[in-house]
Amino acid sequence: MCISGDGKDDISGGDGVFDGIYYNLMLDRTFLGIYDSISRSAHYHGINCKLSGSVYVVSEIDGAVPLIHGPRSCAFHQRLSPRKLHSPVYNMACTNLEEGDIIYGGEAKLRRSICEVYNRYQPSLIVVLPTCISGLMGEDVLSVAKDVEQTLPCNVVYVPSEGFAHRDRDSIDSIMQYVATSWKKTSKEFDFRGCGQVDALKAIAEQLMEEQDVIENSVNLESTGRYTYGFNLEIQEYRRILAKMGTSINAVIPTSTVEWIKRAPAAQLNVVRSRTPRWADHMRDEFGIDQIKKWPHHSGIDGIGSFFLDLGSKLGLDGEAEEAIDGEKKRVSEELAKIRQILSAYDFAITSQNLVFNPYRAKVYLEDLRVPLKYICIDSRVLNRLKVSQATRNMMIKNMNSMFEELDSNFQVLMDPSAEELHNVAKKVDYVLGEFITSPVYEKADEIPILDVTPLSDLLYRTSFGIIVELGRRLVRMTNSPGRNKRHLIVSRFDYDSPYYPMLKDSRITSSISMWHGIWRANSMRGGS
Amino acid sequence: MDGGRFFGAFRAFSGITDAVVLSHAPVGCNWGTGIFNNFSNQPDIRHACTVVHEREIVFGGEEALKKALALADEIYDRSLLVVISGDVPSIIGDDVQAVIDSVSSDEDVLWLEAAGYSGSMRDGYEDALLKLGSLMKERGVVERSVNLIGFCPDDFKVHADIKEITRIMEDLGVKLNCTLSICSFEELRAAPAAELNVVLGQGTKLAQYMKKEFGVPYIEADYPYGLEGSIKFVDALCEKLDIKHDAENSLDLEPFKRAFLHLHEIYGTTVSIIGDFHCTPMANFLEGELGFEIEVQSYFDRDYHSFEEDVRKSCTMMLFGSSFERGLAKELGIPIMRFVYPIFDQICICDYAPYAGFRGAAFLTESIINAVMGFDHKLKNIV
Repeated sequence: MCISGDGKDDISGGDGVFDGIYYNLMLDRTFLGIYDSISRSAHYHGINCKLSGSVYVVSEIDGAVPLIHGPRSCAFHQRLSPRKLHSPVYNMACTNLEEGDIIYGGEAKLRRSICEVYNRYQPSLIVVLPTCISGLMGEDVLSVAKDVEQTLPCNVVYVPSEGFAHRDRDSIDSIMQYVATSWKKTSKEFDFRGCGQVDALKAIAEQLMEEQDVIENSVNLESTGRYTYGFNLEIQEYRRILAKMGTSINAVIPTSTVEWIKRAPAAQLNVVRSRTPRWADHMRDEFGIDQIKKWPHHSGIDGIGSFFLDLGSKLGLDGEAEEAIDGEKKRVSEELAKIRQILSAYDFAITSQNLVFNPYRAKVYLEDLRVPLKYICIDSRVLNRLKVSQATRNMMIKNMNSMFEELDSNFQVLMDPSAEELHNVAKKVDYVLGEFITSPVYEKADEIPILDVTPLSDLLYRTSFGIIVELGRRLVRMTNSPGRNKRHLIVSRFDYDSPYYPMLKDSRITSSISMWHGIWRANSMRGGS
Repeated sequence: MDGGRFFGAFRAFSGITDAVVLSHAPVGCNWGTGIFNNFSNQPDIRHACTVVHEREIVFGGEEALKKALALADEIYDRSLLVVISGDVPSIIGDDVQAVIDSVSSDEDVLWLEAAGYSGSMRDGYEDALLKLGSLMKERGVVERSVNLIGFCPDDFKVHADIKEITRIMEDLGVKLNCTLSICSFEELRAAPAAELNVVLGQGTKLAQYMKKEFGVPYIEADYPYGLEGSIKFVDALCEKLDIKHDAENSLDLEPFKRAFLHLHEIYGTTVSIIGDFHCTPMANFLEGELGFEIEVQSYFDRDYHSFEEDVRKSCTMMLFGSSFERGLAKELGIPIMRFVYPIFDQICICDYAPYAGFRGAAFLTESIINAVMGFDHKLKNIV
């Protein structure tokens, strides 16, 4: 809360480059977050179809229409992609396979449907997405798609997206191993099979992109999706910094138009962020385009800086990148000077789940904001929830602690502290910073003065100096705020199911989560047992 | 725009409040049915799936189903377990009954073949209710009691609507015996105790079965939207149960009087509407009681693209349908009133703000007027 006119939290300054960030984030948080929570919690007791990942990619491309090759029931619910529940895919077509088609084959129907989709929507691209049914029927969807494409003034791409070919039970463990080794810069590529998004991006690179004259110093960015939290802010910052380096964005993949994606091979470099960037591998092999990957260690001011320096180096723009990043760091440093001074007056603890996924985030608090951090409380129960194996869990925690040892600071690490331990920590500091909207829980136990930093801390994986500055500003605002009277939040009156927070303590939920994990472990194996 | 047989079956079975629904299907089918199911009742998660994966395609899904049944037995405290067998097991030929027989001899495990390609959502719903009917037990008839058939737990406003319809019935001295399918397993079994089944839009097959098996007569009535719709519902009930009642006496015009100027002004508004069986009674209310002009009226089992095209060509000022029509409303720059499944961009958590019944007519009218008044897209250039 700000008392209007007291000027107490006036920490804005500089040239305004970092202004408006919090407003934009709150727009995303308010109007997208209300939907995201449904999708996020549904992952506790299920996963979405492989097909939905492919649909999502198509929905990001302006001028593209997905055509589901399967029964209408698949198209019915696939309109509502888990990553954008706020905005269904309205223009979606379906071949509507029925019993007769299953007996006699659906290829004729597919041919007809592709033409109908073109006549109906006049899209630049039709993406044919087979379902479990067409997969089981053994339809040669690719041949049909390519055959019909010859007769239409639009592109037709086929993506293998049969629902039964989704990722398997070991995928989370593999991802976590990959993540943990990446902190030590020793990770190797791994094959993330069964992800509809990965396969759709690859198919688009293979079947849609065309050889282009190279535009010097231009890059393609892989996007997380135009409606993901903080996406626009990150893109704005990329554009600003890349322009300073003398580079430009050629295409944002797949958040772009069909024409821009076709022209993607004009770029000199691909900036990849997915764990399995098969699309970029294809562009490297087919068009000779180099790639640079955004790693967890590219976090914090120095990490982001080194990312842009590496990017500049790949383009032979070392000097330009250095000058641009020096300028950015100077600007950030000026913005943070007063913030650091204010925050240095307090002692802090942080309780977080996210540090177990990327300990480099601690550098933001310690080195960038110079927060006097006395305790880091790690909530690793999320790893149990994800059913990460003990061996992988041990590796993650070992690597995380090893990262912490490299930090030049004197803080104590508490793993999965009990409520009593957390109370003791709270008594020894001025503020406890809380991530993952845990504040309502702690407000119930009102001795723990949690400051909720979720809206910004959730974004520390973004390539953005501005978000770090805004996190600092938010901390100052929160420490400046007058203490809240004891509140009686409705949401604090519930009993929650630890470690499945924010799920409620309810036997229906608990049983369904247990059931899901049991079946997932038992059945989601590829090939034989 | 129809969810197919699998969705219909899921919606019917998941209405048994102490049942667990096990989808014998790949993960996506479980996700899709579940996500639409939980928007307005978020803790009510009682569904699981057998995770039919590549291995099951090669070796068959019976082992996966067997494991899931055993696990469900161990984990869930439930009265009934229902297996819905989806597209893939249907094609690969899993013998679901044999698997169930091999792990359980209890009658509390039920299954239905419901491949999405083999029928409509309505088909799935009807057949699922019929399966549930097989669990019913003969009971002594409770006079002046009825079962309401045709509801799904994820219908918009369902709890408020049932409460209002129950209130109307209680005013007539009629007791609600069971709502299908929003009831406990025990209430389901006791459904034959009703003197009458009232089918509201769907569930006729079950009503026919119950008439034949238990001698429970039935009537089919429209979903009671509006004052007239509610009067028709009351009249039908009174006639069948031989109750003397003048439904006109139940009318409370006071809420409508409070907005009589707006009611005059919305007279003649041009609207379009799409839905399932809720569509016709809603259109009757809009046209017959609010004085709206219906430009386009369609149903989810008809060609959706034609509906969209017809609406585009029409003079529609307001759209009535599900959340999936929001895109069309946005495109046309007009407000949308959501009233029919699936609704995933609004919630209904209050059981005292119905759309059905006499009170529902007032709340519906209020919501429509507010939707019009709160919408200013067309006015954005007028200063």
